[in-house]
Order: sequence, then structure tokens, then C-alpha cells
Amino acid sequence: MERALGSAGLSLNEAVPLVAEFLNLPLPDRYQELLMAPEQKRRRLFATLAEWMFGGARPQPVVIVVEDLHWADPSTLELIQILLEQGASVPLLLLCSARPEFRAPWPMRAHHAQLALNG
Amino acid sequence: MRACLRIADSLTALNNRLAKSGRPLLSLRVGIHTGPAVVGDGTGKGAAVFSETPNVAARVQTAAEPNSVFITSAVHRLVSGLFVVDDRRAHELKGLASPVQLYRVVRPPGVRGRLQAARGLTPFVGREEELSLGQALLVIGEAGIGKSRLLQEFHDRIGESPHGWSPLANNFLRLRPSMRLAECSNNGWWDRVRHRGTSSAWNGRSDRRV
Repeated sequence: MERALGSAGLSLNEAVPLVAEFLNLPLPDRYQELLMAPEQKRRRLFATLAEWMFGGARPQPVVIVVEDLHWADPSTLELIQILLEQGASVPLLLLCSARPEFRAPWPMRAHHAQLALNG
Repeated sequence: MRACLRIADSLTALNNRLAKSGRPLLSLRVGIHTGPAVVGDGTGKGAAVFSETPNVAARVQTAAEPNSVFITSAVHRLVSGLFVVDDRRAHELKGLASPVQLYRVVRPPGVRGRLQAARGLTPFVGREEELSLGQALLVIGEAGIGKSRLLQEFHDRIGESPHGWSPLANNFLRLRPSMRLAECSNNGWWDRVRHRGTSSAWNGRSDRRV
């Protein structure tokens, strides 16, 4: 995990405790628990996950595929929104699909496109 | 079908040599059909085959243009998307009640479309900024209209360009921690370096819910 997070350019002192807790992995002794308010911890976790995913796009372009956004939970949509908003400068293609009833909770940007399939 | 295309290619090469030495050129026609058949006793040419299938294949072969490989719609259904074909419309074939849709096989897999063919062209210069920009595409459509298929087709088409392919569960944040861990490792987040230049397997629909 350290290697993976490190190669994504993340600061291990923050990223390792966040991701260890997220994945329910024991935290090695050489790391300290983070003293953060739950909401701040949550924000930092999302930012860390996004950075981790962006890290993979440095050696080569990455396509992140999320299907059926109409079934996505609010937290995952929040993470996707972070990928959308901060991914503009990374060679990353976020490819999503949804049924027509899905209303994106984020505004459309210049680098976003929508494609409707009508039969 | 690959073998047939190779045979046609080899014949072209042979004809080039024949032409140089002023000898007559050879041509060939290949017809492929698929269907049920019952094979009786015997082997090789001695085997008795009871079916319309070989007859159809023989008729397709006679209908084929010289130096080409023709297939029926039954074969096309099996290889659809794997080979580039030209529609040659329905043909009335001798001895068959209804017309048979035929296709000419143009290219094997591997050389797909202009983008792939363009790899043999001049080195790519400039547009670094455009290449490095992030993009997002949302495909909207009713259930069953082919959204997943479209995404998979896209994956197939970019197959040979180095990229990472990360199918992320749409309920990632709500998964149990052990499932999150599996999701991270399925997406190659643990070992990016080993995944470089390849794509992780297409995991099918990612609408796994807990």
C-alpha cells in the first residue's frame, strides 16, 4: 500500500492512515492516527482516493468506467464529482453510463460530454 | 478465417512472382458457411456428410469474387466485430429456397480502423496539451439499449494503445471494506507499475451492490 500510494505522489503520513481505515487494514506502528474532525477526515479521504486514481494516469492514460450512475450512492457520486472537477489536467477519461432518469448533481464543464442513445 | 486471408495473401505474393516470369496468374475463391451436419463413417474424403451446410458453403464459394473470402450471415454472427467485412447483399444461391446474405472479409483483427492504421504514419508531433487533458463522457440511455456494449466496444477499439482501464463499482464508497480492497486491487491500484501498458480485464457490469 505504501508503494502504491507513494508512487501516486501522495504524502504517506496522511494517506496511509486514511486508506488503512477506509479498507479496514491495521495501521503499522510507525504511522500515527490522524487527529481530524470526521468531516475533514472524509474530505481528505476523498481527495486521497482521487489523487490515488490520478496517480495511475501519470505513466499512461487511464479510463475510469462507472456504469449505471442512477444506482450510485451519494458518496460515490461525490467521489466521481471530485474526479470530474480535478481531473481536467490529468490524462484521464471518465466514462459513465446512466439511464435517462439520472440527474447529474454536478454542472457540465467544457471537458464534459453527454451522449444520448435513442434506439 | 485468418487462415483463408493468409492463403489469399500468399497467393497474391505468388502471383507477383508469376507475373514477373510471365506465367499465367492463379486466382482463388473461398466460401465459408456454418451449420449443423451429421458426419457418417469414414475419414477424409471418404466421410459421408449429411447436411445442407457443405452445399451452402460450396455455393458461397462459387458466388465469391475472385481472390476473396466470402462468408454467410451465419458466420458473420459468430465473428461480428472481429473482422472487417463488406456487405455483399443477399444472393440467390442455386438449390436454396431463400436468398443468402453474403459478406466479403476485408481485414483480420489487429488492423482496426484509421486510428490503428495511422500508427504506421509519420511520428506524432505536438498536441501534447490536448493529449494530456482529462475528459468525461456520460452515456445516457434506457435499460437494455446497449450502454455496456458501447463501452465494451470502445474498450476493444483502444485495446492496443497503452492505457489503464479501471471499472469502478458505482457503490464503491458503500462497499464493505473487504470489497473495497478487492475493488482497489481489481483496478490495479496496488501495482500500477506491473499494469503499465496493459489494461486490467473488463469486469463486466460494475453495478454490484451490497
